[in-house]
Amino acid sequence: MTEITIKPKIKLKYRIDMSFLSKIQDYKSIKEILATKISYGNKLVAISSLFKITGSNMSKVVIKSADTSMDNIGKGLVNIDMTVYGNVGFSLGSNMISGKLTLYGNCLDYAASGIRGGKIFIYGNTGNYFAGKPNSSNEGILDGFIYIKGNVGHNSIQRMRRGNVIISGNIGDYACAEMISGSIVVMGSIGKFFAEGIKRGTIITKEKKLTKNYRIANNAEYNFVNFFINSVNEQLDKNIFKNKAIVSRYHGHKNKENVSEIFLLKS
Amino acid sequence: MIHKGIKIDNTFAEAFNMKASRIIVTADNYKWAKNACSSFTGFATSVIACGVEAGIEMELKKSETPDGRPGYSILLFSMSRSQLEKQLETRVGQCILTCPTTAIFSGLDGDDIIPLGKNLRYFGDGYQISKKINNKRYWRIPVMDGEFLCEESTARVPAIGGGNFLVLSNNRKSCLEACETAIDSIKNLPNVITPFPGGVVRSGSKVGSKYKALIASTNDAFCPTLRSISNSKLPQNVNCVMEIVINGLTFEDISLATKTCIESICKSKIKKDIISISAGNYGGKLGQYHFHLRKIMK
Repeated sequence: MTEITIKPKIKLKYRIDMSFLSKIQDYKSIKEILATKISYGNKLVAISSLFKITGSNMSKVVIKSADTSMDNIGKGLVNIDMTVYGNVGFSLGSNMISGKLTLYGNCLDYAASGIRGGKIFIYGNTGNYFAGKPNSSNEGILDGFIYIKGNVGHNSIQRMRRGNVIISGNIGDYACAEMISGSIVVMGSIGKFFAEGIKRGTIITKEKKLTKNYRIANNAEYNFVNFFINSVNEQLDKNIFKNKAIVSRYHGHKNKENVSEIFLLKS
Repeated sequence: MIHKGIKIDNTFAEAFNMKASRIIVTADNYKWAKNACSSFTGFATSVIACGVEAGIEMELKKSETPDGRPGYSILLFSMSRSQLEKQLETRVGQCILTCPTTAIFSGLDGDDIIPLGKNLRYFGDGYQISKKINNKRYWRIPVMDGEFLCEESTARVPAIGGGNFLVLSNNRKSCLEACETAIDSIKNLPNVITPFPGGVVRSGSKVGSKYKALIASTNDAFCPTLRSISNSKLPQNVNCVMEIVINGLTFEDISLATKTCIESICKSKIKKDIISISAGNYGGKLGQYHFHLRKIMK
């Protein structure tokens, strides 16, 4: 069985809700998908008039020549392996439950917001409100693994409860606000007002300024760190921590309700 | 049947349905991983009195463990779920948590989940930290050498316990040497363990006893010292019998282990002193699995 391949037939003028792809396993055939009508501008049009769709394996989807007018790609994804080539619109992978979503390109705001599981790999940059709470809820991400090769915008990772977010680039202002728990790695620089109101969680970074209000912990051996690094490298199939040994751990904040920890990487 | 110069008796080993679980123990080096595993698998030879049968399955390289450190995998077998749960928790708490530098992970995936570090986390007295990675939850428990990392749960799978064979020899030295050769041959065979000390049993048992309180007693039919006064199954020239008990995850695993063991004895220099290979059974009425030696060796 060959993977499902989707390619726009025309240059898209209006925004399109691509969330129908997340339910592709509910369709019996490609014909049924092509006959389905979706909103395009102020009209309802058949998918066949906008996209060329081929293939038969409903659990593997490839989107080629994606466009920034495509919103909600991978929204609520369940057990589908989806790969996207090109830049995409808003809410990529939002509310994802399981499966794998890979983007070779950049995405706009609200990417990975409210995810509950699964893996998202973005080989590009993301907009604001990344991996935070979606518009419809006050809950941040509940679980899952997210990797960003590029940079992340402002107001990201708000109210994160569980999960692992790995950012190879930089992150903007107001990130990790009201974070409840989870693990975050930022290899690049971090913007202003980071982790305001954080309760628990693990942050691995090279930014020493973040440790300002923390107490330094002893240089003990942390079995978890090696395990975590191992696990991240395994999922990414490369060692992103090369020459970036953990220097020290900071744990214990001026604000006693903040029991988060920071592992400082060698800069 | 004579297999490469050794007589294989026309008999079978009788084995039972059990439940098994696998855990992976890692440490800074093999020495401390082994210390933890030896302690964990101590007093775990037979479910009759130990509650669980456990043994080191194999040595794992750094690249084969979840945290990239040297380690060992352990298999545990028990007759009931509750006993397996209880023994696992107690032994992890007393033997792995206490051992310097160690960490513990599940070695099996499945739907039938049993706790591993789930309750052990309370040792952290509120300082424990939970982490969820790849849909699995881990606990970081602060201890005096740093932190103890343990996976929250492991899986339980159906398994078989009590596969066995007997080595009948004309002297004790050769018998032991043959058994050692056999155990060495399956040292790194996956999915099987030999739970007894060094993998060898000298006190094979039969069901029941003349004493009402005992559920098992010495297997007089295979005791060379009783040959002249009991219903012995031993010929005149057999002066020592030792048993190798094999527990495994599947029928095929135990069959392969039995075959590998016997083949290794047949290839060894000591085979001239081995009179025959036999097996222990209860007439075929108790165990759900029968391992016919001659079928296995074909």
